[in-house]
Amino acid sequence: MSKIIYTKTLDPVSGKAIPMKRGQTLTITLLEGPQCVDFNCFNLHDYKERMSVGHMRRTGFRCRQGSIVWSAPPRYNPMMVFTELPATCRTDLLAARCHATQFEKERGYPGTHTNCQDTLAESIAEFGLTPDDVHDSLNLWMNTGWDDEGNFIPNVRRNQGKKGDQVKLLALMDVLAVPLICGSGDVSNTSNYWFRSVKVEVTDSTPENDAVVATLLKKHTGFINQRTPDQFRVKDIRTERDLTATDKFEPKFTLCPVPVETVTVELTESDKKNLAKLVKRGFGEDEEDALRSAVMTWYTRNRTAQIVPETLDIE
Amino acid sequence: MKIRFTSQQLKLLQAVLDEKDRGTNMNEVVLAIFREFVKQQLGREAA
Repeated sequence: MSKIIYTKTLDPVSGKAIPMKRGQTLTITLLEGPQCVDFNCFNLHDYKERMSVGHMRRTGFRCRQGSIVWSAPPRYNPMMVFTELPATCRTDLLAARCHATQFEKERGYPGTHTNCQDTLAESIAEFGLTPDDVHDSLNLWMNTGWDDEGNFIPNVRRNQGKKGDQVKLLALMDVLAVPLICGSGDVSNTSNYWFRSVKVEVTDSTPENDAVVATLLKKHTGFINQRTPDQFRVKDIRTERDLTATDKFEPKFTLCPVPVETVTVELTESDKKNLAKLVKRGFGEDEEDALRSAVMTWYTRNRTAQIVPETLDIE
Repeated sequence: MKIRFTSQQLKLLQAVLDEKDRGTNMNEVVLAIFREFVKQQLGREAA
């Protein structure tokens, strides 16, 4: 049994920035029923490293058990992992976060409606962070839908959360975890037109969790392109708000100009017919384009792992 | 026929060329890959 080291009930509409050490687990529990919970996450020792839901959605628009909370490139580190995620907790990686202007401009609400931008900002202010440090949230218990054209299903779908539902996130690095009650809950299906309290609890690491952490870090870190600030060209965090160009700045892009080489192949009559068919099918603008596309498509299909959702495949 | 590749593309294809029984030069491996792709893509419609 792991030791509870922090517990708090989040009443509507509030949030809490919670420092966590690697190996500790954050449990979020629905105390009363369906409630959307927005979530932000920072590296506890470098606030510039933060969660990127944009990169999390590369493996799908929903999270599942085993999904990793990733930080933004060029860090791209595993910050947390879902160790428990009930089916009734549909997750949203698309809706960013609600904000006051949205309700004012789009819906004509008077004054300032409760919203996640402001709640997140108020929560992280305890750690000296500004409203600009709020980032797109991972939304728990938010039943977003979408159609083939990429449109959101109007007003989201009914929240499927049940009283007692628990989501568990295991920290893979020291983080500032920021869960909160979504402020749009009383005016949309995000929380079924009501607000409800949730409990947040942090439990200490256990040998079992430490083993999970070690396994996942081995799998997801150690890549040469997971960069650290000492590798950045600009290392200092800018303090002036005005942007001015650096004198005599010369960009050092990864590859510019791109070196190009020519390969000569002898095509048979059959090859030429097949190439013409590919062009006719729209596989390339011309024969060279089609042949190059064919070769590189083969490569990506046959020599590159396809993107799949992460799983909690701990042996 | 001449086909342009970026140096990055050729680096990836070099790894294929280095595989067993993939020939001895880039021209061969490009042609072989093209033909494998045609089989996958065009199936029975391939000439």
